[in-house]
Amino acid sequence: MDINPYLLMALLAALLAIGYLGARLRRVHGQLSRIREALTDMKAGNLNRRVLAGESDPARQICYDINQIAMSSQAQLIRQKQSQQAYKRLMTSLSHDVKTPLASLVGYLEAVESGMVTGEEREAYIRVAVDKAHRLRTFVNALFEWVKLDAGERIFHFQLCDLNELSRHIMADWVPLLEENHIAYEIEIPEAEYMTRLDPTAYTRILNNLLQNILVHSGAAQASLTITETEEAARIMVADNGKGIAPGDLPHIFERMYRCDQARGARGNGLGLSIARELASAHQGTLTASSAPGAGTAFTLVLPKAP
Amino acid sequence: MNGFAIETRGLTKIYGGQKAVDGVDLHVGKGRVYGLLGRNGAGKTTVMKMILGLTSITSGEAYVFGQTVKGHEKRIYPRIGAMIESPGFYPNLTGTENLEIFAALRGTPCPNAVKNALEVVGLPYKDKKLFGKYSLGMKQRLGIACAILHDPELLILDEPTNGLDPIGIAEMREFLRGLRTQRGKTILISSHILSEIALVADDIGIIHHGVLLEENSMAALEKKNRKYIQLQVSDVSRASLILERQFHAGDYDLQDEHSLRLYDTALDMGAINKALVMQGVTVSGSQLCNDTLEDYFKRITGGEGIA
Amino acid sequence: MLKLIHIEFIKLRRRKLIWLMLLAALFMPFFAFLYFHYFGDTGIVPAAFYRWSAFGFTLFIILPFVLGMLCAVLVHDENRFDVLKQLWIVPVSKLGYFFSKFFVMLIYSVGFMLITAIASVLFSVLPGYVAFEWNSIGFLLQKCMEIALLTALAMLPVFAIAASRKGYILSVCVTLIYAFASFFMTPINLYLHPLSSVSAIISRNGDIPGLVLPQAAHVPMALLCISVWGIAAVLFAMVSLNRGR
Repeated sequence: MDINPYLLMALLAALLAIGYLGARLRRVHGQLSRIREALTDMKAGNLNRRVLAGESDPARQICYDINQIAMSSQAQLIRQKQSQQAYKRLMTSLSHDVKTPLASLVGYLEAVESGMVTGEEREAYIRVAVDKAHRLRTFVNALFEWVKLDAGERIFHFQLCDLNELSRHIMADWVPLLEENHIAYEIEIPEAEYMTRLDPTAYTRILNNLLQNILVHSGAAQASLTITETEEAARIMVADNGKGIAPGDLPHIFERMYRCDQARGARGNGLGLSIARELASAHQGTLTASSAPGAGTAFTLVLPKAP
Repeated sequence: MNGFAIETRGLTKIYGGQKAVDGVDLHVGKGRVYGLLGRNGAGKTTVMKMILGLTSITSGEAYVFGQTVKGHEKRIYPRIGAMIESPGFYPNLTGTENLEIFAALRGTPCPNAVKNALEVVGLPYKDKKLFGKYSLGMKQRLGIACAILHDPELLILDEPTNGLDPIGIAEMREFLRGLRTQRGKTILISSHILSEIALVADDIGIIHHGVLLEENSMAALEKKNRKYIQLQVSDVSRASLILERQFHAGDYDLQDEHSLRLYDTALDMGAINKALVMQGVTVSGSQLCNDTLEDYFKRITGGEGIA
Repeated sequence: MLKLIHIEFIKLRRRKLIWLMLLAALFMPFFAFLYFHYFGDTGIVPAAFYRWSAFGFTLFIILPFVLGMLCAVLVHDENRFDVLKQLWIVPVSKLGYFFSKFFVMLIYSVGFMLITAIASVLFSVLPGYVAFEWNSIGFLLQKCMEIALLTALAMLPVFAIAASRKGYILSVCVTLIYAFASFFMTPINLYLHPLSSVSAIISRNGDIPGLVLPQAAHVPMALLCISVWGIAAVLFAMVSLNRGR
């Protein structure tokens, strides 16, 4: 029998084409079943699952999109969990921040009331008790403020004002305090007007918290406040030359109730920086920190200028 | 649903008549960082290799996501990122080219996975430098980049800080914590340095001469690491008053209505007890906890220690 | 599979040895040119020239040796730099790994013989030893392709050994032994050694003058020999790759 070579070649080509298409179909099929499996897993709550796709896979855009959705809902879920944890931490720290000072306050007052101490010592006991009560009040106030901020219930009164003028006023109140604590200071505020939309009370609060931080925690001998500007923003830098923040602590200092010094008796409530950052972001600004242990810390507040 | 990302039962490996790994029951919970701690040669790498199916299991089972790896490679491997021992790559290719090979083989969850992974570990994208010319630290970083290229749910990292400088180690620690808290990944990490593991892990397994001596959560272990004086007293307010006035102890915490924890272990316990009793506070119990994790591990390894 | 082969080629980037080895393809055609230049012949039968330039030592020693070296190059770095463990957990199947590399070898072999063929034509026609005719060139090309495909298949045992061992030197030694073994075994029986079986198939119609074989060429026997060795090699490679080191 005579076989037409062209026919044979055509047959061969057809077979090759069928084989190629079959392989391709199998690949698509395989990928679809992988997608289905991953989706089942995601539906069961595993948002870490990813569908992997190669450069030449026909369904790769679908895979990428699925991953995108899973990633963003995962991020949201984790944010929720973190805020839940923060509340839990808040509750446990209440035991330390409220219960412990309260117990010792009661101790002092009882001693006074029962007449255990008299005269000079009695006066001293009352002074300590008052001091403790004040600190307790400060903490409760801060806590209340933070809870309001966190729940989004704080009402801001934004107004257009000169950032430099406001800063000068705030620093005027701080100068005596710094002198009293033997902290040298350097204040550089430009003469020009930086018109910014801000809530003066909130801005004052941010600066106060940062300066308070220097006073209480840094052990610095020198503090500075420097205001500079860029095209769209004002940069307020509050720096000190104190003991600095350990690199391990630095990423956490803005978390609520985070305290670097494990000494529980230390002053401060672990809320100041957290509040400052929340307030900064309410102004569409950012608050960041950089530090070298032993050489000092610098906080930088960036606030957008009014257009 | 099984809550463990990795579970092993009686995992055993015999090399030439010697038990390299002996009946290891490992439990790595989902979304946790598990630190496998042991000296060099304790069997950490062998355990990881058996889990991954890179070496045969003499007896026992290893389950990843509730399935044995053997027979389910195609389903399980894409969900794991691993770096075992020093990472291996092609020395005649650049870092980017190396990663592109793995990206092509495995598929990626998003279009620019290689660029992202390199960014995360701090290596330049499309750099001309060949892998053969990389320093040890850079090789290690590329290994990590390869392990996270496909955004896996589970990371298995064998001594990831090997060859990194102190800054690199701190960055790695931050990176691992970030993966766990921001992304909800599960991580199994091995190390021979306790202090390193203690900073990142949620759970710790201690392996010594192939035997898993202890498996516990970091929180539980940390309790063994605390230095404090625990006092059981009838009146915490009175007690705190005495502690403050007489012993100038500021660093203490109230546990409940009748117990107090003092963190300054340098204080004289006998004197405290005496003073409390003298002033009418009943002390029903006092206890000094002065143990470090190192001491504890030394004890359970029979005096050899783990680092 | 196409993806794997493509990646194999990427892995060979910047490997100079690969290109240097291709130069070996020019060696025999040049030698044939010198040989015939010495005799000062013109108008020789094309097949006689090609027997020297393409079907002689190229077939027995040079191509097997070059392919053996290539095997070593293909697997050596992956073994030495521990890339394998990272490939297995991708996962890459062991069979896919083995065959993607084999296809690279096949393609390289074809390239090598193409260069030999082109060089043979250039060295024979340009100096005028052989008249230019399509027939003989077609014959040369066909034989070269046969040699390329069959030799690559016949090299499977060497490749399997290279894939299962870590040493570079060892694979080179094995290649040499393998090539010389075929020399010594040819007089005993053509169908014991894959390489001698290849030569049997190439000279099946007795159309290559001067290539004298001790036995009559029996194509099915030769194919059987090659495939038995080939299958044994694949099985051996699979077992040793699966065992894991």
